[in-house]
Amino acid sequence: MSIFKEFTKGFWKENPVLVLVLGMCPTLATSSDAVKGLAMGLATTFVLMGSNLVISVIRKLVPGKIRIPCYIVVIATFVTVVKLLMQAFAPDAYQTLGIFLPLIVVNCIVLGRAEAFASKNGLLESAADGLGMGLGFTFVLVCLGCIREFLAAGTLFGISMQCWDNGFAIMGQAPGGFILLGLILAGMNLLNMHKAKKAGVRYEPPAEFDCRHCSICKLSTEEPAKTK
Amino acid sequence: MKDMTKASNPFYLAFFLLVVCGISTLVMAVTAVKTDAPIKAAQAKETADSLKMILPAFDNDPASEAVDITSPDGAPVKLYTAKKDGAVVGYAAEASASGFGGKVAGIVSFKPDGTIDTVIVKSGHSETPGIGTKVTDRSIKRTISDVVKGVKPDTSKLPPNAALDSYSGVKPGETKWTKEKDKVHFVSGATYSSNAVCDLVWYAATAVRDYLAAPAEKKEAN
Repeated sequence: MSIFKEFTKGFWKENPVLVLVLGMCPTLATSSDAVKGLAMGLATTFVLMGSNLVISVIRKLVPGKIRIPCYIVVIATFVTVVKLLMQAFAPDAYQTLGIFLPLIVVNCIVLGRAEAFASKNGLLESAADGLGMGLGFTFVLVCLGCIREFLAAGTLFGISMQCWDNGFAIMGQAPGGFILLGLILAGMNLLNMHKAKKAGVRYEPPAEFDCRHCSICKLSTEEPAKTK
Repeated sequence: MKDMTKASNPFYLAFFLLVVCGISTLVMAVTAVKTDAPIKAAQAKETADSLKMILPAFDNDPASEAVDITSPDGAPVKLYTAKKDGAVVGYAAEASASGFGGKVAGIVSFKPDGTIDTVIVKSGHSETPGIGTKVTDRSIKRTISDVVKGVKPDTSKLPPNAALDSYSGVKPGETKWTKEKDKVHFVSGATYSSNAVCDLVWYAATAVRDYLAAPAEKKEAN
């Protein structure tokens, strides 16, 4: 796959939130308004790109047995760096994100990309993948943030749209985010099914995105499915 | 085969992890040292900006002369004294209380006699946007038509907030303000946030009241 494809797949085809359904906790918590979503998305993008780069560089040196702890250390370093930088140079964004900034360490998207992509691919591909995935994540957070903010308070990026001041308060909270995200996921599936129907085939989610490829639930009696 | 033995040798694994952790510690330490001054500057700036907004003109540095006092309820309060030409022109007290989404911190400014002047809530709280923030935030309301017309927001004075402004001109009595008895403003639907603001203003106001009532020697001791 070309570098450009690695970059663009994060936006739609393998979007971390809408297709891989990873990183739900920060998605629901920080998409309550557009500015918060943007700040979270950009911070995550920085961490993703940095950790992907470093992991791709050290991928051949790291012994397989301790690769996960090594990746976590790399990710945690980047998160600490971004936290300190934001605290120093973007204190408002730092205050807005609060606890969710250090929690990027446990964001599944970051470790997921490290393990599934950066540990097997070269420097440029990994950087493109990290940047694309991060921007895809940012894109979804900002979209969700805009919809939720508009429905809850009638504003976009803090600017009143002069429609209503008291909207659906639930949209500003996690349950509203869950409902909206569910509707969007359902809409995406509908779209994909419609496309598949037009093409005359039965719609099935790509095999690598569901649990069929994973060997955890298959007990040792069975040959583990081809993982990578 | 040599690689296999190396990759499963626990000492090698431990050594490798140690090296990774060492490098990461180094990177974090360098960042921490480099960002230490900007972080302190950013924090000092936030406090200084807030004090400038809520206190009358002063010529001392209240932030560096701040004293720690406690309210009668035992809540810690940070007291800033604003002076001009050596005379006290106002006090500001920083206190916090718990709201719906955690701690809500605010700064309350007082006239020299202990009457509440202005209340602001510091950014960084986690009250629900659109609900709790109605009580806590003094945000400049910009509308889409202003943006289209190019109207610049007025940043010269503090944006109003009915809930926070309702404390202005009030002096703390013997009992805490209640929704029923006093004029202070509680927002329906945002009870927790309203209570948090009420609590923090109460802590700040009673601490300042006691501080002003205390004899001068005790103040020195503080």
